[in-house]
Amino acid sequence: MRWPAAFFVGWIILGIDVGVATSLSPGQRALPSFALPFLVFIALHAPTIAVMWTAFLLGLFIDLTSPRAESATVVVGPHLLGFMAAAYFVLTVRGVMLRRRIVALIVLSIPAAMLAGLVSVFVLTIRSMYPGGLGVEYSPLSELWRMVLSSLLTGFSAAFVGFVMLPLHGIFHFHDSSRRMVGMRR
Amino acid sequence: MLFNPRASLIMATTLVVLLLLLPPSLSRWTNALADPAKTLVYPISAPMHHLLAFNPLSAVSTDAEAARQAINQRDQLLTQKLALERDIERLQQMVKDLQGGIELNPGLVVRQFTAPVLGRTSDLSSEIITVRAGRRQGVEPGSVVVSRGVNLIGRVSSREGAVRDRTCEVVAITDKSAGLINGVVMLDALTPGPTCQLVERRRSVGPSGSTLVMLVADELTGADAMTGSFRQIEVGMTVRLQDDNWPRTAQRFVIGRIVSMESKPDNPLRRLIVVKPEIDPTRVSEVTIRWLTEAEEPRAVSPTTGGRP
Repeated sequence: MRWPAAFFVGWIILGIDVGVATSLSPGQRALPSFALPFLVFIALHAPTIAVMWTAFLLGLFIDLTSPRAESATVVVGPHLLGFMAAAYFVLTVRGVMLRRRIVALIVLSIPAAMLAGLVSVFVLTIRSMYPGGLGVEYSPLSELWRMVLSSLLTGFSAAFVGFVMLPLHGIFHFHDSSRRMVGMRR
Repeated sequence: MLFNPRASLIMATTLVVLLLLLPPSLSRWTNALADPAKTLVYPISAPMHHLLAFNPLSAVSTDAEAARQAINQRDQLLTQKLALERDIERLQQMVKDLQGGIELNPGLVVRQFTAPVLGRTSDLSSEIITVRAGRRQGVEPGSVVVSRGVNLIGRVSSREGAVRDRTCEVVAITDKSAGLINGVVMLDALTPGPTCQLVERRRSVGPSGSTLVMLVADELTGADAMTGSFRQIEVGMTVRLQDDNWPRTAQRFVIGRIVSMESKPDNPLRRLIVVKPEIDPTRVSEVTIRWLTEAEEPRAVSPTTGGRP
């Protein structure tokens, strides 16, 4: 995978996540994620270690830029671990998917977002048990409900990401294992 | 190869998990990473946000934003209203308390000043509190200090340097250096009963607070023995100050309430009452300092002999 291209596109995607997702959110209860469909797109094509590092870095930046209470500490980990879990999920099922289809991106983005959200809520729930851990009152049940709505909205953002990313597939120089296998047979 | 991506990823992930398990006080340094990350991401997020302004969806979201702001504003105003109501209640209570104190001593020209308590001395055996009122406010040594209008807290110390420009030290009635105190047991709200005299202070640093052990002085007098008025003393009765060595402005202020009664160890015929101040002087957060402006000068408290000659 060509890392500079991934970094640049990832940077723009993070900008969309921070700047646009809030405006698109109906009532701001649920937020569509653009970073997660991008991660799913990477996970569908890139080697395992590159995918996991992409998940690590995307999650890290989302954790660091997430809004928090004034006096609270930045919690590094909820999105990071959630994204890594989502990436691992896509890596395990990508063998049975038609990777170059937008539908595959949409279909995988929704459960991947749910898995990432689930891990994130779990981590934040544990963290909220510490005195002053989050600086705000944290309700896991309402967060789970918000997470489900966000995952469904992520399906829409996945369509947008897929529409933009699939034509740009070439700039990433993915190591396409399926094509190589076909070539070897020949 | 120097950089092993797989091993580095495992190490980095392990570090993040360990970081999550640390208490917030030990992981506060991560705040320093947030600003560089935002500096990196925000430059691209702003153009994206403006790009969306052309989208018809943004009109809907602007309405939602305006509604959210209005709701936030309403919540803030409601919070302010509740805080103001609480302030009004507190001030009304303060006025009532202050007026109550004046009613006990009609005809005296009393100045009083309400001041917050800054703290107490670090010496646990001492019950001297520091109050944020001093010479600039007109506080003089020996001024009477009360809380909630009528509950006696103590007197401003007459020790040299105890009254400073902005602060003063107050010797609580439960402090060992406050001297002897004479009181009167109130049989009901208006009827004074036998007088009593302080014989001992019992210290407690726990939540129960200190108590004053007072000897009921009139019990053995013939008249009281005949009428049996001493028998009327009961737990729960109020003991008020009746001591000529205290300023007139302090007379009949509440020393405390009787919490138990016991016999004097060396003379079982005489009774001791244990009086607990209504308000623990060491835990009070705000006090009122009272002094006479013209009619009577307050008498200074002596740290050694107290008010008793």
